[in-house]
Amino acid sequence: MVKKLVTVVFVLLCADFLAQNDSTDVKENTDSLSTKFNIPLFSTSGGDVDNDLEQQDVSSLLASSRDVFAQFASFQFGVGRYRLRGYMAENNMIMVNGVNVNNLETGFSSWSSWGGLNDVTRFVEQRIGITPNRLGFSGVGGYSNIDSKASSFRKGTRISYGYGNRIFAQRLMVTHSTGMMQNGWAITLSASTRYGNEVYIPGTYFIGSAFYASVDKRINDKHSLSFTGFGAPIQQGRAAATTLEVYELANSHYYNSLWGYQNGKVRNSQVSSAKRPMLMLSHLFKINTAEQLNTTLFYNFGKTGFTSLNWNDAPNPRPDYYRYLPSYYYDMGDTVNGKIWENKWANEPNTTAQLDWDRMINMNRSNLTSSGTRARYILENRIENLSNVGINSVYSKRAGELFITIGLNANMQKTRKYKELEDLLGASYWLDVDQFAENLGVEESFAQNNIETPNKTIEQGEKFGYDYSININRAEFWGQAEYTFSKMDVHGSLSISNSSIWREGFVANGKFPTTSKGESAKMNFLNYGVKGGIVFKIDGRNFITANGAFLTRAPEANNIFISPRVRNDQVNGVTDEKVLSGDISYLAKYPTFKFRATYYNTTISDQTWLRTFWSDEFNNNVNYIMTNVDQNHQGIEIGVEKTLFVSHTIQGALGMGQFLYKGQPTAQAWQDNNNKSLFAERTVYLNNYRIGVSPQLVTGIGYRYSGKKFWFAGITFNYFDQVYIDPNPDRRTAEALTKYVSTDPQVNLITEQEQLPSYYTVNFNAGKSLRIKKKYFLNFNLSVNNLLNNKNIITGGFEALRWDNSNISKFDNRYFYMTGTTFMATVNFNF
Amino acid sequence: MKQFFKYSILSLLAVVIGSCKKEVTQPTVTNISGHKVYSAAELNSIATCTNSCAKRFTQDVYFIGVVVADEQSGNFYKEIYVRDRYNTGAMRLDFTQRSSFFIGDSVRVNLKGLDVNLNVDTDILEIDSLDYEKFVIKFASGAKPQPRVLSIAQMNSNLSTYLGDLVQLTNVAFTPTDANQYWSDPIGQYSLNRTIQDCDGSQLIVRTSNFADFALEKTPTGNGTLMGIATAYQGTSQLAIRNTAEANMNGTGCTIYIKKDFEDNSLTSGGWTQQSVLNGSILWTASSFGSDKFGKISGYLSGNTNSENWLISPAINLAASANPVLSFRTAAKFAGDQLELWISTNYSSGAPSTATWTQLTGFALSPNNPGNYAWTASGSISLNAYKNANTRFAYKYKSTTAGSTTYEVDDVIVKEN
Repeated sequence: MVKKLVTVVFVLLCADFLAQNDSTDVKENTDSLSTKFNIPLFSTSGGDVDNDLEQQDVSSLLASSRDVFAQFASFQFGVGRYRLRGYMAENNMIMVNGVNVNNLETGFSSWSSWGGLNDVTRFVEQRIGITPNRLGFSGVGGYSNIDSKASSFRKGTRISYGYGNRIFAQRLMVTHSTGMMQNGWAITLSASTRYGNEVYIPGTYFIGSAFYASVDKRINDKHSLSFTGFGAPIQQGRAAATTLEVYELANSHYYNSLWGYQNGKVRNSQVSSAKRPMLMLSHLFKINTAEQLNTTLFYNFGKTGFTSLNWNDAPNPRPDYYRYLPSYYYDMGDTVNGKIWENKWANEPNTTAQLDWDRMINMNRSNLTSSGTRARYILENRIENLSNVGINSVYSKRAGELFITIGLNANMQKTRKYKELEDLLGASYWLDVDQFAENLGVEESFAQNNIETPNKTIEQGEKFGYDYSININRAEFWGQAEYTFSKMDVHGSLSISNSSIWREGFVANGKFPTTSKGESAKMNFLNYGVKGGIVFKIDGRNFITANGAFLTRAPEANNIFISPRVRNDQVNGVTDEKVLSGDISYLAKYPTFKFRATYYNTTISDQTWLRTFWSDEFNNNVNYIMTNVDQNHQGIEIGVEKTLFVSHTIQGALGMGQFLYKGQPTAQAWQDNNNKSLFAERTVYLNNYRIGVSPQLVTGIGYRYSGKKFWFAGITFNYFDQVYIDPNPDRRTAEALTKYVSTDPQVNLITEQEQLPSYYTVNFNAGKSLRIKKKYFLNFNLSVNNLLNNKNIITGGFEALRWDNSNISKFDNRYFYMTGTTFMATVNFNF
Repeated sequence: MKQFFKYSILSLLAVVIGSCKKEVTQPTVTNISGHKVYSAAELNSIATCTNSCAKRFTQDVYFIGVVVADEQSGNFYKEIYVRDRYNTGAMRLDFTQRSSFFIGDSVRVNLKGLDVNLNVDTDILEIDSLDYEKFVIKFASGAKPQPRVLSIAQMNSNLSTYLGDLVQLTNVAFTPTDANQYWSDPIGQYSLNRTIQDCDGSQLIVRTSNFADFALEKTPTGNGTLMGIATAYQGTSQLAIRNTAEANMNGTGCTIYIKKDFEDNSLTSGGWTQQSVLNGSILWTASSFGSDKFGKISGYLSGNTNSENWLISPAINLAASANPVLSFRTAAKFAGDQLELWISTNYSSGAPSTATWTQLTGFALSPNNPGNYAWTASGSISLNAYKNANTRFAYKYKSTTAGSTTYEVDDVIVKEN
């Protein structure tokens, strides 16, 4: 029997019975690549870590109300960039008060949107996998809903102070709730501030504040109104991944190339900022004891920014540019220059290993022209200004063992994207032209970024470069039915939606005078989804569940355009993405023992993939686009928890997956400044490459002791394996290998996928609660990550999209290192 | 316990999953076994083909070999030399830009779209103006190509097979004027020729680019081996070294004081003179047979005649010498008086009788009766007794009406033994 089972599982896993797969996954990397390798190293984790900590001090490490595996995934595996089932963000629905907050364009939802509002975002309902959802039609990854309404919070005030050495050093939060008052009003206010300067990584900083207000009014037994508004403006100086050679030259795994000294002061060139508040107004109509209707109007708006250096007619200022590294010269046999650069890195760190702001400013000041000093270097800010307005209405009815939910939602989202001149760095203007075209000396209008304002001189704060919006109108109608039988529960859901996507250009680019300004054709995507599942109740303690889903969805809006920054032309061959998924689980729930094991298999097909990278060769952006990208995710999740003698608890989790690209996507590539494609149809041999977003094998074991006097301490050991670098598609094409023969070592060097070393971490946390005068509560919490202070853990990396098929090491892979021991200590005072 | 067993099985299943590794699908890559790989010799015959033959390759065909000279020292620039893997010769790859191929790299040239030629100056098989990033693949490194060990004469006698290849010349030294001199002239920006010679007196030009990083080092003063690429300039062989570490010339010996090989077709070059004592019509002349050049004299002028004529060497400074020896070779025919060898330390000019001469004997002469111009080496003749600043020797030729031998003299060398 066992043997048979093993065989069956083996066959299931090894056979491509669902010959499909997925790949839009590498999103975050993407952004990084698209901005000349500026990696948002800790961008999202800033919010995550913050959130995690708070989660830990409310529902403790071993809180039995939550799924053990999900807890490990959130609190333990997160540092290793683990993603549940290898899914990218678009497969997980994130909701606040029942409103889907995944960005319609990217599918991504940033936890930093409510970073610092830990007090009011602590009630999260999370379910993973294919699952019934009474709030919306969620996909294959499951959903999380943050319940954050004034009436949900108990009366009281809470002051919390945190101190640590992670993203920020200090955090202060104050929250006050009135609770539901006699007059039917409930008000909750929360505010926080977070600050850190070079807390762990040199050159980084974090400044964040957050505001929250929620007002509930219970009008009568049937009607109540609720308003919730929040925003978490942040500004963050980033860190970037770099090559092993550079880490070694800099003698630190936390080397950061993005900063340098300006007038003796540390300045970071890559600052991300966000000011994107969300406002929601809900009406809850309790029609009767069995029926209710909940309708929410919401508005999410505001800017994110991302600063970056730009330059013209001047050397690349980035210290880790490949020509500033000894290896570039040693590879050529030029030991003289190799030594020179080695010495520079060793002896002139401020001007070699870091950005030399003073030099850039001097070069700008000396570049005299008839109309002032023309900037050779500038700091630009890439702005995305979002406006998303929508309505979400959900009706539910209980009829005996049947529970029915019907929902309708509609969104209008517009994201306007442009560049602003952040800092002229001592020059008096920047010329708004395509530098490459300008240098070629072609017809003047051809080089214009905006032909209506030829040769415009740009001053500080002005828009330049590109200016366009991506617009999405989407409406969805969905319904769900759940039925409870004595021996089993069943659920089924349907969704139908329509998305209309278009681009609107606000400037006419000289290269594409007729296709860059105005609205593009509208692409419509009519999508549907169906899912269902069944729970067999073997007895009151043992369950078997099985679920399945199939859905289609519109491609990522930005990826539909071959060169979205400059023109309306759309990628040929874009279709709906298809997702087919199934999972089967066994669960046991005993008072002192909990167990879940799940096998899942998901195929995501026909995805469109677009990555933009800067090419020195063309002195412009190159858009690399793949269509028909397929992925398959399958694996097993196991979570187990055993309580021994009341106060001792042991937990274990194992996630063993296989996240693969499947099939052979077709690639095309376009420059931002040329209407001829670099190539049109290239077959990418991605079949069975590992998707590089997440470790594919994780396991952890935790032990926790709960003391009698309201204290606890826990320690967790986690192991990460099967970590892969996501493949650069262009290296897996026949074109990449044309000059080689099968016996050449280059063939493997170019096509082989890098697997990173496995590693483990040990984390510790402890807490103590005190009750003072029976009125006040004081909580202390401490969490320590990477207790062994291992500074040699590589958690991920990426292959450069720009590469040289003659010398694969010229543009080496870049890597991220996990920080050494970090801690966060918090104290909460409740009254 | 039962439960534990159950969960163990499930965990085991998980391990099974991990063990099934899926292979990636690779794009099809050219398999070289279906493609012709040319040898240098084959390419040479294509390059030298004159009868309207196609020299441009239109298929994926290859040349494979090991780099024997790279651009490291700067003596070669935008070019490398590659010894064919069949050992039939070598080829020069002339690049459009500086490359990063190193000695010992195994490279493969895809010849499609290229033509092979012989360089007009050097006659070396080459591909001109090659974009190496497109056509040349380094597929291995670390080979240690060994030089072909040769004497200058051996290299010259079979130059075409060595051109472009790595050779090591044995028993060579820079000539006294070129020893302890700069290899090249980076200041005046000229490439320089320096001459080496071996103990046979064979000479060869060593040409060094002014861009060589060793240009301002000095040529060694001793004797030993010198390694480099065999090259040529308009028919005359040359050597271009890769670096000075391969000039292993610290040995002693083989100092040549004079050498007369008549290859310049001149009797008197180098300060040689002849003095007719009897019958001014019978003279030493520079002569040749085939490609061989030598000095010649015959007393036969419409019949045997009476004559005496001295061929006198230039003054040789042997004052500081240790163990000087003289050697030469002769060829003779027809009966008559034997050629004599005389030496003097006080001759300056004019009739031989103006100085004191001592006859040297005990060396081999070509048999002259009847003789058939059989070249005969003299063997070493010690000049130990004549370590003077003004040492000269002379060949005294005599003929009579009874018999006039024809003598040919060549490769006259005075050197340290």
